[in-house]
Amino acid sequence: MKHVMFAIFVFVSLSFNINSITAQESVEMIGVTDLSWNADGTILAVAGFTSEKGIIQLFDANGQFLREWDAIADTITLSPLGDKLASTMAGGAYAIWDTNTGEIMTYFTWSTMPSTSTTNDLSIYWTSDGENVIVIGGFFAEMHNAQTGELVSTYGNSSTDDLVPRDQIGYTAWDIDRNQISISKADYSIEVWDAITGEQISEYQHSSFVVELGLNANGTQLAFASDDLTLYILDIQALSIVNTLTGLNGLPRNIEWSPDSTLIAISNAVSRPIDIWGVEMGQILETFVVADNAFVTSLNFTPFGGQLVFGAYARGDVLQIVETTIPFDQIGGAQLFVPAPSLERLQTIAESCGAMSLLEQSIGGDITDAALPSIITQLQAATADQIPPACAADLIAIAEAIQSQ
Amino acid sequence: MSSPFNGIQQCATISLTINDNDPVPTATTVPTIAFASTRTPTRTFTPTPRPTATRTPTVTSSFTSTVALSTWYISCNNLTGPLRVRSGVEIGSQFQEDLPIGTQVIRPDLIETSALDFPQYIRIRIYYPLGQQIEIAYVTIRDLVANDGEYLDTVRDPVCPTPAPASSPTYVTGILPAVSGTNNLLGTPVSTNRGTQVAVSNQPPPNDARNDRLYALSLVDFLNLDSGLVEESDELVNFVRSNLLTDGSGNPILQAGDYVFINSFAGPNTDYHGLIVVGWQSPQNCSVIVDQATPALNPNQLYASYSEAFANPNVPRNSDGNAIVVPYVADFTTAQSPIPRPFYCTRYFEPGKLGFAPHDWWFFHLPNQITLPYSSIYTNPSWQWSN
Repeated sequence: MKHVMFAIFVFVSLSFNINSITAQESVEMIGVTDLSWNADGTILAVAGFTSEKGIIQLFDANGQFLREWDAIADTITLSPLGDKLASTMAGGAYAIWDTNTGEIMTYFTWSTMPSTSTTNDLSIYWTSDGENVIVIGGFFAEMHNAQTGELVSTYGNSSTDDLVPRDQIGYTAWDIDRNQISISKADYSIEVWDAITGEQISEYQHSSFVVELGLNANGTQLAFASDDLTLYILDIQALSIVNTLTGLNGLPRNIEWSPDSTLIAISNAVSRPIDIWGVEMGQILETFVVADNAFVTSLNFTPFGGQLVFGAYARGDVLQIVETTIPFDQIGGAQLFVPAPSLERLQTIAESCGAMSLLEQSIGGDITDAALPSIITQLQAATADQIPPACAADLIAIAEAIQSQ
Repeated sequence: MSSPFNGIQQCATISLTINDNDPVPTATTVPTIAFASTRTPTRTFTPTPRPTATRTPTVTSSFTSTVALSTWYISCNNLTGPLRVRSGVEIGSQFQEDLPIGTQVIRPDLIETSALDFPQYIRIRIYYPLGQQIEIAYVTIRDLVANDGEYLDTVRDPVCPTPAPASSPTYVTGILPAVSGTNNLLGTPVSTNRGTQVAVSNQPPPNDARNDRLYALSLVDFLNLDSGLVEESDELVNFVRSNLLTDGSGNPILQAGDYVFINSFAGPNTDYHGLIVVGWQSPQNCSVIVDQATPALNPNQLYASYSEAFANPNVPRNSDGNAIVVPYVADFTTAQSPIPRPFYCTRYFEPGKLGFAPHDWWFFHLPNQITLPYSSIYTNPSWQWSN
């Protein structure tokens, strides 16, 4: 889910001692409210603010600036093809943008509750066909037509009769392949609803508060936290807990699975670090420390999972987004780093995007530390026909991260 | 056990009898405000001509006036609820001419829009680029009809629940208009008796120009509202202190006896609501503070104001030197028990209680005493002593 974030509006001059790949044409952000990839990782959208205004910027898979437009957006979500972008801000106003022009195509507000109300979750989800978006109201998730903004259907509660505050929606997660939404409620339950039929599919009852949801890439496992600072892994089909990760550093604000479901990245409250958990090992593999005044607003693995991208802003007088020994890169105001870099991970991702044959041509055998320079050179020279650009970017980043260890 | 309301006694001579959990009042359900005087006046509203639909409104602001570039209209004619402005108020809509370049409509600001509020205007909120003064613009509503309570509805909003003209224009969200003066409940000739809304001074600008509330979703940086767990109490204290309007000494003006409005209306069976500020104390986990079996707070330990807490050397300070206290509130309905609790615990689901839907917080500072002239006191003609 995505929460709206507010930053203290400060005028600061940023000086990053990092390898910035931001194109010169883009305006410098001083805080990021949200970011979103399209399905194949060819476009990254970053929403945030400069010292003067709210802005949305688009970048390609290599971090090259594409375009930007003025917009006040707390959360954003690119359509699967990346041709449209949905945005919202506190207050229940949603806009659909044409990403080629930066013009608004349509807008709408909540239909099931007054726009004067407040919601727990400002997430926006696209259906797999890119025709509709799902937004979260107080008691109902609403599907709206992305062309007209009209309400298509609602789900999350069966009727408006006998609703009580405990029926409100807490957190959500979206399975774009199945067009299903998982919804946690204040009564400690987690429900799965079919966004097409509008019917509830299943329900799991937990024993305490459910805090944040994160669905893995194949939609089989749902991670959520509870106030015992434990991360629970729920099997969606069996409706049973299949794993628990104990000792969270706080209640999560973001739970993000890597595409191969081996890692879970968690961001916490202000000043708290980003933790990378190994799911099988059940322990923290890496901790990415943020500055005392930094709040991580958004957290995403790249579509092939080689890098973790996060956005943040600072509370306080000085914007100091990160303090860490882990090298990181930057796209606009978004930060990227390679979680748990290893040769095994490099190979796994190369296999997932069909790059192994290309790499084997350059190294003539197994992927080793010694082969990394050749791999990087090969990947940098590869065309989009040979390897998806987003995957190439991931593999290069991993290889460089291994070299720097 | 001591009364949970003892903290209130430290404050002002004002006492309030409020039942904000009632349905949104209409003309027949006017909120009652009882003052600590020898009289207990009940005040109601006099219906005034209501606005109706419009096709070609204009937008004015403190800068200048300009013609909106698109069509605006009111979609609901049932004025028991807020008016809706649809179509044309598009996010990112650019106002041109004399308004600052980059000015955008954020959304219709409906929270303060009511039938009694600016009878010929709908209030909207627009975004001005940083460096420009943030103002409220008004959409002029034309095409008034002659009869009170009748409204044209050129293109009716499908979600508008009642297509029939409203018989009553009264729309009051609890005591909010009374204490803020929004609806002029305590207006002329007693305008000096109004309370003031506690501005949220430092909070949003980049993403929202509505600096009138503490946002629930901005508090998630420091605590989890659902479970009521405080994670960064030092940061929370700094945030609350820096975001509430302060006096000349930099201390929040909010004190015991003041008022908090929550927009907890999120659908059926929920409602707007209000609670009384009962003082300041340390931020606590909500489950601890509302545990009736082992009360964590002696209500007598509440400090009437931040300044009073700060003056006590026994109150812990954080690394920034701020007293580690936050406003405490108490509910007077059955939605929560009346145990004083940190204001954010209005979002916490207390076992066995109904609770509130998701909401933000509006703070209002009340005058210590309100005086109403006899001529301003309205008595229901049907009222009897036996009532």
